[in-house]
Amino acid sequence: MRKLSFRFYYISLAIILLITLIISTRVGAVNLTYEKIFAFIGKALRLSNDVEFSRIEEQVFFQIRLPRVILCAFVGAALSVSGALMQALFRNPIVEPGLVGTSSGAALGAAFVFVMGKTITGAYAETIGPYLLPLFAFLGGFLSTIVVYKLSNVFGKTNVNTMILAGIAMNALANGGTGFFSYIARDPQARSITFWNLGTLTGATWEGVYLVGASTVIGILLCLRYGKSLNALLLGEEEAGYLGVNTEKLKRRIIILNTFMVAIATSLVGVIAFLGLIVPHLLRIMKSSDNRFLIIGSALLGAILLNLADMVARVLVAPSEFPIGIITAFVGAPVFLFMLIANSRKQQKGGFYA
Amino acid sequence: MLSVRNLEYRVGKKEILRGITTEFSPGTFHVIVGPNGSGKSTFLKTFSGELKPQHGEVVYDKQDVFSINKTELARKRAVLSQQAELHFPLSVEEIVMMGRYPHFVYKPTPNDHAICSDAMKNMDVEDLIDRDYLTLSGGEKQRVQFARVLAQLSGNGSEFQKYLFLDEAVSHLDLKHQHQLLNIAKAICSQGAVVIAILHDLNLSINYADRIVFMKQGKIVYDLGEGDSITSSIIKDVFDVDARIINPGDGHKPIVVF
Repeated sequence: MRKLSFRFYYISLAIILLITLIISTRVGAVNLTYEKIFAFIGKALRLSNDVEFSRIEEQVFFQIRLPRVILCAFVGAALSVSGALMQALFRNPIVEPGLVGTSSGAALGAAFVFVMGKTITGAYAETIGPYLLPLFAFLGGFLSTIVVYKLSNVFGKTNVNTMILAGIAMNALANGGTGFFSYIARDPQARSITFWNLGTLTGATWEGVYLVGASTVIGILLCLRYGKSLNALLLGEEEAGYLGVNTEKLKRRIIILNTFMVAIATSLVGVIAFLGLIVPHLLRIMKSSDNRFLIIGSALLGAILLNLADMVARVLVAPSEFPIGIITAFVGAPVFLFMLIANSRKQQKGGFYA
Repeated sequence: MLSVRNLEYRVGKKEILRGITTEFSPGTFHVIVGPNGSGKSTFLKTFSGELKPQHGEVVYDKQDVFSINKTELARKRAVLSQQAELHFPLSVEEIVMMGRYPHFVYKPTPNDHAICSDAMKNMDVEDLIDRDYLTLSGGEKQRVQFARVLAQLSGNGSEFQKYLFLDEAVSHLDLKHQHQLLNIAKAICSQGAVVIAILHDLNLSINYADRIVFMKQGKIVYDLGEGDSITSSIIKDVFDVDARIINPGDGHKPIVVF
């Protein structure tokens, strides 16, 4: 293990995040220049400047590009932090945020709206239509997680193994439901379901940014309090209990925090797989499994990586867009495999990644 | 003083502990022995406050164990289990620092670091400080865990009554480190802690114990204090094994041969 301090990693990641955000606001269907970007920000802050830009460009920046980039950062942070939380809670390296049914439940809720939305809203389609998708996606994600949690909570004690199995069953059930809706859907609806399951940040709005931003920031601040307890939990539930951790309370709170962060993020941008699984592992390989480090580090690194992926999604087939889920999988998986191999060559044999 | 009254613990219909009443006093090295399934570990988990018995009570110096705040309890009571597993890589330093978790809120103080480094020196693991715990051998892991337990019990002043419980903690250790661990436990005991160890080796038990408690089928069946000596009929009754007791004389403890 290397001797660079946690703070070094936080500062480096924060700087990289800032650079990524600035580059990310520049590229897309309409390419902006850095001068213009700084001019927009300067104007918003009421500073004088003499760079020429059009009204359209300004609107692209403030109404489309900026909310999208910021939403992307919050979603990346939320998914990655919840990946770190879930892996620590389940003491299992292959766990990701969707394990307990949150994402597949949200996908089912979304599929329901794509197919039945017009029917259930009827005359009110205009007014409540836009909110229906996030609402049902959130409800789907939240309810399926609650069911999984209740199923695994017998005799007042939460059994982590039962929870993994119940999560797998719930995922199968929800995927079946989503499959059913795809089957009965007309072609454009089925296409919407598919796209939603691959994630998309196209519809980013400032309302979405505020909502996901609030849930993510509050969620991360709250879970920082549990970093120490989650570390102790790595020794096993009994040992954690002997170290003064109320394991039942801890499990309950982590599940609730995770569900809120993932369900809200997923309800707005769809299912983005793999990010929550790999980000904590990348940080473990880089530095440490200390959960206090993983929580802050995952927030920063997740925000960076999802923004990079979204940038690729915008540039690859511009002015059209590529689904971000395909990029996280196609780029994320090889990078992750490469790091695993490189690390196992370097480390002493018998280590976790060796 | 740790008192246990009428302790009963059931899982479904199976009675694991069937009415145990006893007291463990500071400065006495207690050893619990008994065959597999006799309820030793369950007994330890109930009096350490991890399992709530259906009946009976566990009292730490006039305070019921389940009324004590968990963090507060963790500052004075530490448990070393047979082998704590770790599911992700962590440095030895961080594992030992976990012993200080009940003592600090967010960041360890210099005092916490000093206590950890003393604990590691005591268990000969200071050279492993930067190693990944998962790369250690079984014996090294157990010494690191004991260093963690030592750190947990250190440095909160003598006004606290301390409690140290060992649950088959020396099974994985080599001869030297078995004795090292038990000698340190004995030293903590003579400083006035309540020490209770579950051991499997009868000769090791005889060598270290001031009092040996024999358990069988969820009950205490024999309780040998200082002056009482172990007999082959006790071993036959508890373990169903024929054994002979040899007294080497000249101040040595008796030896059990099979």
